[in-house]
This record gives sequence, C-alpha cells and structure tokens, in this order.
Amino acid sequence: MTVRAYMKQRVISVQQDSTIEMAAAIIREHHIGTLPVVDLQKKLVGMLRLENLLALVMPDFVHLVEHFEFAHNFGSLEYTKPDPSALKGAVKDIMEDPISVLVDSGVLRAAALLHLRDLRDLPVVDAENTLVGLVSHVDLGVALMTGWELPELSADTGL
Amino acid sequence: MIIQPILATLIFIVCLVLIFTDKLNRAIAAMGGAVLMVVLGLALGFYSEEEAVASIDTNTLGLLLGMMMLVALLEPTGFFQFLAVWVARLSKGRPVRLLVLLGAVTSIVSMFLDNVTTVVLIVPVTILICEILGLNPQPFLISEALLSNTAGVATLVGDPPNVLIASAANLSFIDFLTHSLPFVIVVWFIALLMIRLLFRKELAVIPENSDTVLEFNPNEALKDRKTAVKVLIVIGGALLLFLFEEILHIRPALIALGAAAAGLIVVQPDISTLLKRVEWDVLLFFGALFIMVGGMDQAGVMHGLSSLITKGGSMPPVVLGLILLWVVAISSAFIDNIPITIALIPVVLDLAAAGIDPTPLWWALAFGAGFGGNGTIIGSTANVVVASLSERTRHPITPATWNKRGLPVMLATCAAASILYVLFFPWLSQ
Repeated sequence: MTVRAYMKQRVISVQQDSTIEMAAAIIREHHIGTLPVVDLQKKLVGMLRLENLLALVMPDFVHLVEHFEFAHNFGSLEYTKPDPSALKGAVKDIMEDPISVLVDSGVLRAAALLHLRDLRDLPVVDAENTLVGLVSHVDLGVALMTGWELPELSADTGL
Repeated sequence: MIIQPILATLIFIVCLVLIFTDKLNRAIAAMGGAVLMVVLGLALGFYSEEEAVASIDTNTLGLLLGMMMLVALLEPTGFFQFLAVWVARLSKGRPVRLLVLLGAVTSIVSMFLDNVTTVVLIVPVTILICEILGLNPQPFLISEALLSNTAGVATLVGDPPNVLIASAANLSFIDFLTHSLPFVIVVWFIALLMIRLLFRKELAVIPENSDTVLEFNPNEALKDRKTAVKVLIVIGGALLLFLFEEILHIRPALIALGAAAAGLIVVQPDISTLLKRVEWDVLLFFGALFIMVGGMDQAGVMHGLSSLITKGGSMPPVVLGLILLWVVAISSAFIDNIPITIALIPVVLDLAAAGIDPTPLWWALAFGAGFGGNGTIIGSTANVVVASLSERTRHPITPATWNKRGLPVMLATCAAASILYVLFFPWLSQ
C-alpha cells in the first residue's frame, strides 16, 4: 500500500518568488490548508501552511496564555487585518522547510510522519524531488481503514 | 598572607563577570566558583570543607524552599490570573486605572509570595487584556515589574535579599512591618507617580473594546477554587505564625517548610509536577554563593573591607548608611542583587564587631538591594522575566526602553528612600 494510490495528483502549488498575498489568494480560493512551494523546475523547496498566514493576524497572547475562557468576546480584534506591507513580501521569506514523502512510501509511514510532525497534509515527491502530489491526513487515514470489516451503508440507513 | 584574599576575591569577581556578561548561567557560574573556592581554601589552608558546609545559611534556603512550594501549589489553580482578570474588570478598561490596579495587585501578592512567579503568571494575562483593549502592553509590563520589586522590600519574605538580611541580622517579620513597610508605602507611591509621568503619552490612548473587558468572568479564570482556598488558608496561617516567630522562638524556615508540608498534605498534588515548579536553580545559586562568600570571609576579605571602612575616619553612621544604600543600589542595577547582599552581609557583621551599630546598615542594605534592581533590564529577576516574555510579542522590551523608564524610577525611589532614611534614622537604629 503506497502513497501513490491515495494522493491527489492535481496538486495546487506556488512559486517561491510569488508574493504572500498571491499565496493567500490561492489558499482562500481553493479552501486548502497546505500550499507546497516549488522552484521553476517544479522541485519542492518549501511549504506554506494556513497557520503561517494566520500568524500575521493572530494576537500575541495566543503564544503566552494557556487559558482564556474568561474572555468571551474579543471585540474588534476578531477582524484584525494583516499589515498590507507584510503581504507584499515573497513566499520564500515565510515558508517552512518542506516535509515530504516519496511517491513509493508506505501509507502507514506517511501517516506516522504526519502524526509525528503534527501536520495535516504531506507533499509527495519523486526521486528527483519533483512535486507529484499531495496526501491529506484524511486520505491516509481512510486508506489505512481499507481492510476493516465495517457495516455496508445503504439508502435505507439514510447515510 | 596577602595572596589568599586576593585569589579568593578574584574567584568571586570572575563569577560575577561571567554572570553579568551572560557568558554563563548564574547557578552554573556560582557552583563552579564555590568548588574552586573550597579547593583553593584547602590548598592554602584558609577554608575547610566543614567550614564551607557551615557557611550555608540553611534558614534562608529553608524559607525560600518552603515559600516556593507554596507558590507551586497555588500556581495551577489560576488564582493569579483570577486577580488580574478581576482588576481588569474593575478598571472598566481605562488605561491609567488598569495600570494602577494591575500594579497594586502584583505588588500586594509579591509582598508575600515570590515576585518572579507572580510576574510570570500575571504578564500573559496583561498582554491579553492590552491586546483586546488595543493598548501597547509595554507600560503595563514594565510597571508590574517595577512596582513588585519596590513592594517586595516591605516584608521579610518579599524578596530574597530581605530573607538573607533577616537571617543574618536576626530581624523578625514584625521588624520589617514596622521599619520597612512604612518606607515602602511612601516609595511605592513615588514610583507609581514616576511611572504615570514617564508613560503619560502611552496612557493617554483611548482604548477600543472596553465593553469586552466588562464581560470578563474572573470565576472562569479560577480553575480550581477548592485548592486555591486551601492553599490560601495555609499561606495565611504561615503569615500569622511569622508574626509570632519571636514569641514562639521558631525560625521562619520552619514556618515556611511547615506550611509547605501542610499544603502538600491537604492538596496532595502530583509531587513530581509540583517539584518541577520549584526554582531549584535559585536555591543552588544561593547555596554556592554562601560557600564562595564564606571562603572570602575566611580568607580575610570581609575583615579587610570593614577595617578599611573603620580606618577611613569616624564617619557619622547616617552617612555610612547612605553610602551603603547607594553603593548597593547602583551595583544591584548592574549585577544581580543576591551576590551583592550575600557578600556585604559579612562586612556589616564585621563592622558590628568593630563597634558600629549594624541595625541602620541592615535597612540601608535592604533598601539599596530592593530599589536598585529597578534601574536596568537585568537589575532583578522579575525584570529579566518580563523582558523575555515580551520578546514573544510584537512589542519586545529592549534594554534601552527599560533604561529610559526604569532608571528614573530607580533614582527617584532611591532618592526618596535616602531622604526618609536621614529623617527617620533614629527609628531605623532601634
């Protein structure tokens, strides 16, 4: 059971020299959590996660307080917009080092890697480090459930 | 032999320089220095292993350990956060009122409990409150550190130099309440006025979202009310016993450790998690400093210093006290106030042996060590902790920012303390 069979092959990626606002537009338009970053040869060079973009508007206290149940309403802080100049920067300035798997990796190995690094999606590359796909934790989790003996869902169960 | 005091002093100074220049963690530097001192003492025959062990002030260590355990019990209950949220609501989101209330709460708590822990727990909530109100948190953070440092001078358990001085000079909890507390109240308000003045621009901002602060629910910040009440009762009992320590003929260490034991029995926390919250590095630092300074004392350094002072002509005691206050204050601003205090205690004891009344000198030492720490970002542990927490925000506090606000506050408080010292010198000599 390898990653190749379960990955999405039409993967949306961004060039490392693109602007951050372009990457943000792609993420919002396609409703995705992870955007692989590639160079002109389509080699994987980085990863931009939704969290990296949200860090631009997250208040500082989220890094410092463990409990804020006592505050029920954050007022206008809810509508914080990023500093326009921050969005003009290049993707490569805020991207993370890529964590990827080879297209022939086992599904369990990929799932374990996601778990270990606390990620949700994993770019998939070939032996030349060219981006060929992307698997999500749902893709991998469902793949691991392939052999399970589960009840058949039919129309009369309403599911 | 002149070589002994020179080498012993050299070890101590090298340690201070390593700590001051941030080359080595203070506990590690002190431990290395302590071992070197004992080896040197054995080699030159001025310091034995028995003397080294005897130089450790177990009363100070016991008191600190006991108080640290009590704080460790109170920490996870959310009591500190409860206080911050409660005063935030009382302030109705008005900046000046918020600053005064947060400063007052931090000060009152740190008069009785470790001010580093207090600041560590109150600062994150302060940042949250400021962000919701759209205020720059810097004035609030800096004033919490400055005011809690100042207030800590008021009581025997308020800050570590007081614990050291009380133990060496046999000053009681009540002595601090009658001699230090009145001074500190005046000085505290002067510090507050200075802060108000220095931050007048930042505090003139009209906050957004002040309604949301009114919606805060302090009870939701208090995660474990039952435990908090239990621990607070135990701490209250300990404070009550401190008042009677002279009548009961018990030392503060026994009271603090006894209270810690009582707290552990009523709360029964997971002991390994609790012990992780105790600041062992601070205790190690103290122990190692005692051994190092004990070696310097045995090598004759402290005696040399005190005879230098007595030989310098008969200074009026009040002038000697003022000089001590400022020397300690200035050195505490640039170096840790704990080694300064530990090193100066034997000097004062030696002066006492030479016939000078040590009582006013003890108070000068306490005021200098306490108020001096406000001057720079490295002046006190609370300052260091506040600055490092602020580095995780968009408004990190730089050493230059601190100097601009802390130094004037330090100078004003030390000047006020000096005036009071002169005016009330007879009272401080009792």
